[in-house]
Amino acid sequence: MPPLTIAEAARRIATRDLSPVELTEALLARIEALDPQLNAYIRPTPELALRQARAAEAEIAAGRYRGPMHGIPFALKDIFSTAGIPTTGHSRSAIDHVPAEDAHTVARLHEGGGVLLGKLATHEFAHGGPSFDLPWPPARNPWNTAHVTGGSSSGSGAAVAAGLALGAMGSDTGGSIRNPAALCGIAGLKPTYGLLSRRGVWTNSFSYDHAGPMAWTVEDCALMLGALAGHDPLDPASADRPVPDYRAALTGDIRGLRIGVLRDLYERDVPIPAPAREAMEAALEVLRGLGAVLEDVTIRPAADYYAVKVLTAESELYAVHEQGLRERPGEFGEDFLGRSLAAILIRAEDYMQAQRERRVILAEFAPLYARYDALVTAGPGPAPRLESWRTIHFWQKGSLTTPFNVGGGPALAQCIGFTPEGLPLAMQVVGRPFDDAKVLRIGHAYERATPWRDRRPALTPGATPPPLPPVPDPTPAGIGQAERDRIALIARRAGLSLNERQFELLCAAAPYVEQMAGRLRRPRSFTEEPASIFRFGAI
Amino acid sequence: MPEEMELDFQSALRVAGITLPEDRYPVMLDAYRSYRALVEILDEPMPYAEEPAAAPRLAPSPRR
Repeated sequence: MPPLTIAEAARRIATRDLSPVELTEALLARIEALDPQLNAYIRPTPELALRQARAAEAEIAAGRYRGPMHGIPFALKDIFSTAGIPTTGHSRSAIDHVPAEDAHTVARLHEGGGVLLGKLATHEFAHGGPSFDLPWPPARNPWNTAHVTGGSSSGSGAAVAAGLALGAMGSDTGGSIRNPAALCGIAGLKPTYGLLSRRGVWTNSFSYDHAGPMAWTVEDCALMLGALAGHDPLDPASADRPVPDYRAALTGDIRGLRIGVLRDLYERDVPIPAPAREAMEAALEVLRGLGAVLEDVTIRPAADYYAVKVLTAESELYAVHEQGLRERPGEFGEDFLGRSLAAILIRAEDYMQAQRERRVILAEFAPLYARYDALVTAGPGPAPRLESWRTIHFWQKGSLTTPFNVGGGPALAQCIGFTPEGLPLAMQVVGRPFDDAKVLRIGHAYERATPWRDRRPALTPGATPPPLPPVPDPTPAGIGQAERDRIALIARRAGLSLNERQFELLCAAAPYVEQMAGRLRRPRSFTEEPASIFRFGAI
Repeated sequence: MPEEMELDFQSALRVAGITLPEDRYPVMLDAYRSYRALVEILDEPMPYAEEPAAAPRLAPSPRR
């Protein structure tokens, strides 16, 4: 059975032209045949999947069709809690963690009649690069298994692109849905902050975590979003507002929509390679051809957004994992440590200035939202080779995706072509907060006007992927002995006992932490409030 | 350990760019020790899902 989209499968399941059991069996067989070369799954759940598929089939036969996710096989990044099924964050430190309850989003997919195929690879706790020292290998890119998937929703990107799941859940704190969606050539939506519950999803950053759908098409993302969105009173960030019909918004008509093109961002600030620029130009032409009105617009330097996000999110991540990092740092991968340990160098005032600057940035987005129906910019990619990754890249590079985590509005990544070597290229469509429907409408119109969804990765059962590279050595830190002594002191105060390599990872990040904090130090009026505010009733 | 506390205090002052008058130093060091004792009260494991009391409010507000 060739890979189906959720929309196609749902249409056929609803008319009883397709059996959820046969569809699930076909997917499980495909996972068995192809996943050994991709490592997208860390824990398939075949028995549960077949049980759920049989139940769906029986219900539908009895005339109780629940909607477009009924009988649809999906998979979960292994940070989404699943009752009675281990949820490890792809980390040795949580290898025995078995939640008692499903995450809110998982429960909604089950209520919709979805069929869980299994738990997917992730960068460790949704925060690390491709790691080579974890209990499971990193997922590989189905378009070329020597290349990264992007992350952190690495298994979700690989599984959907390879047709090993019709849809998958990802999470996005700084780009973790859009990176793998872009690098694996699928569609991935970071919904508006608060539209989907974060409850039961391993926390990366309280301020920036978003759960969201990843699927082969934009239409499939819309179908998943319809099943997932809704208020969760037990998530203090959850928005209590009506959920529109996202599928009905996919009219194909974007005539007259005003779209701001963030050209500076991808041409000068975070420059993308030539094939990606050419693909972006072509994509903009398609949008113009569909009747949208395009205009170049500039936002702040990417480094501003990055500093705001990283200083906040690393502090919050460290607070979540503080005990484990103190007592068992060796249970975490080096890439995770190379990011998270440096949080001990972020001072409380740096964290607060980042939260205050975020509020200023939110105000700056307001006129853009007023002038434009949406913004577009390039997505990440093409995918680099696995051996090229270094932890220090996290600290050195700005990001095409992070500005929209800081803004909190919806951001979609979708395929806009391929390099001559066959690696996917991507565009992002960004919207006003809670205008996810318009973002999907634009992405869907583009997708229908282009041929990119006709091409799938060519995978051969039994193919052997190239060997994985070794764990890279920490990048030498560009700091003197006095600074090392100071960092050692702070580490001791934080209760950390680090070995030599772990300490080197911490030292390598130190100059970048200072650079980011310095970027946000400026005279501020006492009236400049932070973006995170105490509110009675928060749970 | 007391020596380390003092080194730690001096390091914090250096990073913050603060210089104390000599006669204020002992009392400030004492205050720092008290602060560290307060931090220890909060130093206990929490489930990962324990949310902070301050949640993001994404409605923009103009500079005032």
